[in-house]
Amino acid sequence: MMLLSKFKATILLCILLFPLTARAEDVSMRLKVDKTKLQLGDTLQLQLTVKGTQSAPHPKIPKTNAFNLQYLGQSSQYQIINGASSSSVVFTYTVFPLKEGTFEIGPVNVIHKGRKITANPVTIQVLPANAKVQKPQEIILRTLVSTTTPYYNQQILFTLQFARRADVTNARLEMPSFDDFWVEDLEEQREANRVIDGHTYLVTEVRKALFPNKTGTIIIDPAAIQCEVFLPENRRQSRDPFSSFFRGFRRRTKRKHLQSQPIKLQVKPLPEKGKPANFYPLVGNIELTSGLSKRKLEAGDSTTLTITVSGNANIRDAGLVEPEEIPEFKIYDDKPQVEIIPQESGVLGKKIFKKALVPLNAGSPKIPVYEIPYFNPETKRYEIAQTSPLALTVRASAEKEKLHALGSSSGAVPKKAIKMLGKDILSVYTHPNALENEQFSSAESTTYSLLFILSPGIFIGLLSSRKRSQLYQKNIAVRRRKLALKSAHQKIQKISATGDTNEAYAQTAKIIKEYLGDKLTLPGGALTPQEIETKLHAAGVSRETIDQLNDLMRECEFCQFASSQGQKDCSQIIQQSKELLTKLEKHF
Amino acid sequence: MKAVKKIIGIQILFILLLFVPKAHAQAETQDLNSLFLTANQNYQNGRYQEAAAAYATILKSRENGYLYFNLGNCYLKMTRIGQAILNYRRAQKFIPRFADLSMNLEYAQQETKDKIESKGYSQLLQTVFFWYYRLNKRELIISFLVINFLFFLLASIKIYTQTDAVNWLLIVVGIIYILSAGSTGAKLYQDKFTQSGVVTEDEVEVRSGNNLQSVVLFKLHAGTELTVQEVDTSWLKITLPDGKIGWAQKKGIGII
Repeated sequence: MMLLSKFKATILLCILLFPLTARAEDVSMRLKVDKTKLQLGDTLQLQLTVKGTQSAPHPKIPKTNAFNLQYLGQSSQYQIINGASSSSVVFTYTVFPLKEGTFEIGPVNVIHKGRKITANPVTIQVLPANAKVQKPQEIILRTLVSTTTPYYNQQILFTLQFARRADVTNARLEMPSFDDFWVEDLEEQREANRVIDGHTYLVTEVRKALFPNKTGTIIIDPAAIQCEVFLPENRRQSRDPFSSFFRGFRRRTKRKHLQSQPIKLQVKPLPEKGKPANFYPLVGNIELTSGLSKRKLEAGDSTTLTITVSGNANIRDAGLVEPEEIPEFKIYDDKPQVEIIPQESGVLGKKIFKKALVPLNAGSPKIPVYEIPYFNPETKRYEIAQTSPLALTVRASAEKEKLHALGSSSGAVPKKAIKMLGKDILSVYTHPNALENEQFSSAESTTYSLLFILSPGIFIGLLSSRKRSQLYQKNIAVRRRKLALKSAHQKIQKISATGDTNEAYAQTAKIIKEYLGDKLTLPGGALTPQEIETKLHAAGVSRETIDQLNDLMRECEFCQFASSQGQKDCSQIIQQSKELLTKLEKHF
Repeated sequence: MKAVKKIIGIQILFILLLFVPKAHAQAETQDLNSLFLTANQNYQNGRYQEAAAAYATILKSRENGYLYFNLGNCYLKMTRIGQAILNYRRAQKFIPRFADLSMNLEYAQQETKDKIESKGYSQLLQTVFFWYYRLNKRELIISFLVINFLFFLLASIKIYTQTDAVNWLLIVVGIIYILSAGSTGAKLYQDKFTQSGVVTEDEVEVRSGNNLQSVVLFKLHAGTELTVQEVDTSWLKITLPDGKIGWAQKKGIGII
């Protein structure tokens, strides 16, 4: 049992130590200085870092008559992060320059476990004692381009560097507008320590690939940054231990606004000499590769031909030069795909064309060569990239063999997709109806508005009429009340037509009684003057109107049998009765 | 039922009124006819500027989709993409189903420089509410009036006869009525209150405010289509399909 646990422990130790031993061989060395430019009489600090071991022998830095070295000491470090271990030793020296000029420190060589390890040299520039060394600045904003004399549509690498030695907050960057360029972004941004004018800065870089889309002079506008820079601490201000504790919370800042220099580019046009026909301005170094999904197939089956255009150019709109007619195949084009791959020197563009090829007959048809012309700015010449020729082995299809065996053939002409030969717009419209005024006239608008309200209006009218008639059918009393005046008027109108005064006296009293009967929902003819008066009074009819009614009724009864001398004219009676009815109607 | 017959009679009379041809002054028509023929001839002979001037003159007194189409063609031939697209869009208001117009507009749009990603649901809208995009304002109004007439006719019949067939028909026509009313209302609203525009100059600066001191936010190029949100004396507040907003000078933008 004891033996087994010992064995397990050994295995575990081996597993734990394995990465350590595996990486022990991966040893490298690097020289680093805190500045590359200094005055005579000044010093700089040199660090030699040996990575991957802690047992490296003390390296010897080759001495020259240009400087003296003073060894300050060494420090070592060992780390295990996520199971991966790393170790390093740092040897630190002070360098005293002895004369002016540009010198190299190193290279430094060390033999470790029989292997020679080398650190690359660093170059330093020693200026005269009274020379002005540019003071390190808190922040620097600068923009750089890979070339200021590119060709039209040639890739330029634009780099914006925001370098700082002080802590910065609330930075807001304004990039130049690249109006005269097609722009491809390389990456969001990156950060590294870099030496600028002999001083080390923490540099944030934003890089873009630019393709000028016009020739002549193009100015890239300055970039600008606004930020707050933390002011250095004045340590002598207070000796209070708590002040240092709270210092981080109340560090003072200074607002800064910086602008880079504008960049002037002189964009050269592409030479006319040797320019291929229908040349798309593809400028860069272009490669064309091709491949087939399968090389052996039956007639009628399909294989995919993949053609990849790649290079450091603006390939988004690049097109292949299609070969002449290929009678052996039916070709179906797929939508090309574009990939933009960021690289250290700019972007690498890839455009992948896919074509489905369907061989029509058995045999060994050759896939023709596809080409793409481009302008190479390095050789300053037009060049042509080509695919390598590919061959297929096509067997007769089982289906076709069967048809041959039967001796049948459709005899149909093979169909081809219509090929567009030119590009233009369709011509003008010449029919005279182009002269008809299509504008809305006010008459037309009025007609439309009337028509719009007419249909619902009529519908509402019909509906209310229908509802009314239904109501009258259900309730006779309501019908009598509602139609009383109308009925009375109709009857009066009839008497008026006869012009007979006696008849007018005889009928008027009857009509009024019937009207009152309808309004009060009583049998009209049976109403006595006393009843009428009581009912009208109860209905709120004024005394004056009741008296007028009584007078008229009495007059009618008295005059209908009297001589014509005491009688009024027919029209007068009718007028009087109409007025009375109108007065009475107001109370019901 | 007598009343219903009378009502139908009146409505049919009104509908016939819609199709009464418009009367034009004879002499004016004669002049415009010869100007139109000259413009067509100039276009065929490659004198696009003269043809455009003639079409523009006719358009001052006669507004017609085909004239806008022809004017757009002249501008496209003169490589004035912005003006071409502006006139094609104006033509589309009158003759939305004219296939030549769609083809030439597509051609012109391929020549524009600005690539703007739209929200992406416009194609779906165009498919679902096809009649809205395929009919012009007049056609939409007339269709609505016919459906309006049919709906209230059926509703009137329903007052007198309550059969299943009438009820079902009324439901179907009612749904069509709502759709038609919505579409016509939307078209009239768009016509009255929404302004669309096209960049007609080669390059137009879009700024953060309506003055030349404001920061240039971005630049637009000929043929780019936009929506006008606000109109100032000589500035327009514009919106792009991808949501960008800014102020541009009126002179560089044509209102559709």
